[in-house]
Amino acid sequence: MIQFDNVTVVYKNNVTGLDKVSFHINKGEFVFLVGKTGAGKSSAIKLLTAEIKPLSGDVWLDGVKVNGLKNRKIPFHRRKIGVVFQDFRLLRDKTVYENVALAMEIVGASKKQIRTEVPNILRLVGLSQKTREYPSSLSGGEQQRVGIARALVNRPSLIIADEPTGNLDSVTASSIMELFEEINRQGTTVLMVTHSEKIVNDMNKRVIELDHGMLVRDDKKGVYNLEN
Amino acid sequence: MKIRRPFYFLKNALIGMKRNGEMTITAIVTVTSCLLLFGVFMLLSANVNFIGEQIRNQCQIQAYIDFDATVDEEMLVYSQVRNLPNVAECVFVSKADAMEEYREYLGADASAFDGLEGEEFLRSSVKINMTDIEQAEALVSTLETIPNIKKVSNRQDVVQRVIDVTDVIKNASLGAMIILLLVAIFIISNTIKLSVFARKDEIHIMKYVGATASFVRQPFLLEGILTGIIGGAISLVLIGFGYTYIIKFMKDFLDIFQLIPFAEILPFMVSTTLIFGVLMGAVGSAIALAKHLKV
Repeated sequence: MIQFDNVTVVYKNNVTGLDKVSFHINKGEFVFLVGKTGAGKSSAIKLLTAEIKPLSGDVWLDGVKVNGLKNRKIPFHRRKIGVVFQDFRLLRDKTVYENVALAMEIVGASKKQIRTEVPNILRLVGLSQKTREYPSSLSGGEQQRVGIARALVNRPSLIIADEPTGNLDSVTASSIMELFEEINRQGTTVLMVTHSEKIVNDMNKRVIELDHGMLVRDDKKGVYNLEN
Repeated sequence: MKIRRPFYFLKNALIGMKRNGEMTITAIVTVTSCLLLFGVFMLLSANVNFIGEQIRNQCQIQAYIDFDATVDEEMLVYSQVRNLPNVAECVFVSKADAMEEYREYLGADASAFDGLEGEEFLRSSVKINMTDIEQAEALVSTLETIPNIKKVSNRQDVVQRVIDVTDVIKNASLGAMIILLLVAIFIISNTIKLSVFARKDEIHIMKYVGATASFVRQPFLLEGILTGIIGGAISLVLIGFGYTYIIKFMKDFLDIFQLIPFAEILPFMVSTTLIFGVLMGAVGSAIALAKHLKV
């Protein structure tokens, strides 16, 4: 599913993002990507979404070399990935329904498809009763559920969640994590960046740790322990 | 999906214009002003051309024949002149015709000639209309070599001035039109830039969801084009009223030259103004998008 082959990223200001990083993630896995700020987590995500290119090495997703994609192919590549952000990034002037429908409109789905899929996905994330509400009237957890619904609605094979619980209290965070687990159970690969020790430890999933751009740990059933 | 898309883009373009309210209005007013002035210069240029043509057509060369020449000699001169290159049309004016013309010219004062009927003291001449007025000097030189032609009157200096003035006005108009075009493009470009900034979050999300570059760009491009079209349409209406008024004024008070009738120039004005409106909008937004929208 995901393959990093000896990937090195160096930014224009000579800062090293990743340093000869290699790992492999299988389809259907749930993986935490941990590390201190500046460890290279964002670089790894940006490589997958084709926002940056590596200086050397290759990044593969579903058998496609991401760093070899032509510019006009990148949007179609991104449709295979659903991204969930820490700050939700919902459009304030659109309702819950419209926020999710936007993702389908962008990929050219028909009105009929949108009318069927959006309610389905909103049911999955538990927001069936809030379709007409605006983000400002929702709680943080509900807003993140909208973000997740938007990431899921085009049925991507990979969900990248960048600190999805960073802005949520612990109770809400664990309900969001349950949702991710459910999504993962249905076959979607989940790659989650987090700083939450509790979440990583509770979930007991694979943990990849980066430090100063280098891969320092890859535990099958790991815990959050940056000191090691 | 394919039918729905244009409406999707139009809807988003209109949302962008509404959200950007004040800036959109500023842009439309600026574009209207630019296209209004643009239209004024265009009309000025076209009319200067039109009037210049009228003056040129009125301009003739007159070759005066020796007073002592016989009628046969006069006819020989006439036939020689008629066969010269650059002579579009020529008319022989006999001594008697010349007197008649002079009387007409004097009008009421012509009574001074009463009692002098049958007397001939004006030279006969040939009046010449040219095919190419700018080659007048060459024709004058040739005429002066023909025997029995005593004098050639030439209003070439006047014609040259008319040509020079029309050229200056046309070039100045063209210069002004180019500047106005650039100003309008700059303003539209800035409006679209603000529109892009206002919708930064949406663009970011679109990018992550896998929107193609053209999908993200089209509403902004359309927004620029709509601004251009609206500005163009308003300016056309204003020009229409203004020009009709000027034509009426010229007819009533200053009936020296004719202006191009409005109906005649309307299709040209509409097409040019709208094409430039669309062009300005498209170029303006394309510049803004190239600079501020990396997808």
